[in-house]
Amino acid sequence: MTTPGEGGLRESLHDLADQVTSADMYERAVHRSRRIARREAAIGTVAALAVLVLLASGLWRLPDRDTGHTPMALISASAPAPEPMPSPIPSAIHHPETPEHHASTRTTSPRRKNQPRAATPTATPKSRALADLPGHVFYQQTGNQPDVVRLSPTDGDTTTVLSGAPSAVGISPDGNRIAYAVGGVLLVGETGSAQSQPVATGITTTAQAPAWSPDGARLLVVTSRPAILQVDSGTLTPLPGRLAAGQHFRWSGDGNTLVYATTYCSLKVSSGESNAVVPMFGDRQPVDNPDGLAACKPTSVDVTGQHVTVPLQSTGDIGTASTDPADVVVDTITGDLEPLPVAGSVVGAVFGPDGNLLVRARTDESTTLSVFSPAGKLLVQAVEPAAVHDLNLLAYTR
Amino acid sequence: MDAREADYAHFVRTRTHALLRSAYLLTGDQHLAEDLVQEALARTHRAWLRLEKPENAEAYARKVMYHAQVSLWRRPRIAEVLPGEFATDPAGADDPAEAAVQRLTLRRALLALSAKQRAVIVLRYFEDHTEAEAAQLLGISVSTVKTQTGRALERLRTLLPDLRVLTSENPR
Repeated sequence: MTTPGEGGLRESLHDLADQVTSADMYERAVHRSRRIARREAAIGTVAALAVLVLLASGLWRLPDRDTGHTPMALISASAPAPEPMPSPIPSAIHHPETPEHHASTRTTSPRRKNQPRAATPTATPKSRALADLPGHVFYQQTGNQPDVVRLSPTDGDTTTVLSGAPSAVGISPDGNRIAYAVGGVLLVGETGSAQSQPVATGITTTAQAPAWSPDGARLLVVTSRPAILQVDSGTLTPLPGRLAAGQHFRWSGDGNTLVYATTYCSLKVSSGESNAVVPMFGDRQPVDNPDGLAACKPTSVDVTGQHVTVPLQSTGDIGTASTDPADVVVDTITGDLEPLPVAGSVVGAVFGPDGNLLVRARTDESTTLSVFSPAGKLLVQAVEPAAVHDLNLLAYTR
Repeated sequence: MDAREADYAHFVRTRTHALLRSAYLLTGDQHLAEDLVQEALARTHRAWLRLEKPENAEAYARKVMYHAQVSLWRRPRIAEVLPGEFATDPAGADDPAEAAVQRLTLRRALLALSAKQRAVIVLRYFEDHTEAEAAQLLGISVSTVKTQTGRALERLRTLLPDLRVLTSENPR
């Protein structure tokens, strides 16, 4: 700020700004807002018609993306065989009237900028029993040095598996191991055990929590640059140079794809030699990103890398990775936010290692956990135990 | 008019003038300033339900305004103005006519800057934002803000060698 009495640029700018004439902009702004709304609706209608025409013509049978992913050089031969990719538009084609298939079904329509989300009916689960929820759910406290807690749906028990986590943590896909760093030393231990083993040094976790590979044999960590750590041998292999500036890497369930964020909160998808940008996020041009959306911290990826969970942020947050859990699912091809057919506010969303999507939603009455299969079927929807109410969703494992 | 719409109308009617002042410095023209503010307010109207507090609304509107201006950065709309056209006489600054001439001269000098340089000047010296705040609002790095500010001031000094407004500046 200029010092008092200092005739300066600031004073002259204020003097110049005084020349502007007041105007009542309310009617104009509302009129313009309605025009924008009508344009969005028109775009949405055209896109929907295009999809219908596409479906009617049978062109949907064409693959919507290169399915012949070249495995990354870093994937070990011991990695499990990739699971079959879900049909590009599974439920929309085969079961259009079935409410069990949620709206994350895929289309090959082009990216629809500004398109409002379609209304999302809630789905009917196959089971409403928590005991039927497959796998384990991990939570952590908010704030610094949080406790990490495991919920075992089978019996509804909660167990603290790490007290006062000294860094961001990574839970292995089988839920049995936890990785974290203390003073730059990466430790791996059994969840719930006080014992842990140092496996690497010089590790930082600010821009990269330890991320387990789907086979549980490797960890993606950051030393001076992102690298793959072979847990058994401690061998570090740097990621290719084009990925060196990435952060918050996450593996797809088939191990063929890495999704990561740039420092400008756009998302990138790296598969083989491909390194594609997810449209819109972090784009500073209002015409391309009218809502100013940004994704600074992907948290989990589906089996094939076509969907990623992120805490939704704005371009104003660029440079600040959210500490909140992911609350949206992003289509990495179109940049669209996938509607989640659950009641209440989504307070957490995470893919499990087998591609199931766990959605945590909260209403005034309760918090529910919903698990959707990779094909979009709502498998289980159950009330979450009150013991984890104040914790943040961290991971979903086998 | 429901409560939310009434809140929005109140926001528009109380904050439009402040937005117009910034927009005028960004565009150098009353009508262009109104267009810019209209777009910002319309986008704010669209986002109104997501903006929990009125103070968020102004921040959002300003962000939209600056970003909308950013989208015009690549359009060469303003003809380059040569330094020779900016001759001024600081001795006559107390004269109303001279003051008007100085305002006109400053306005033309601002328009001779790139839109990015103009935006950082307005953010830093008119809205008193820190470099970090300006960077966040524009979605660029702090070092870019510093670079653009330095270049803008250098350009203004070249364009306005005798204008007293540039003799000493000490922004936040």
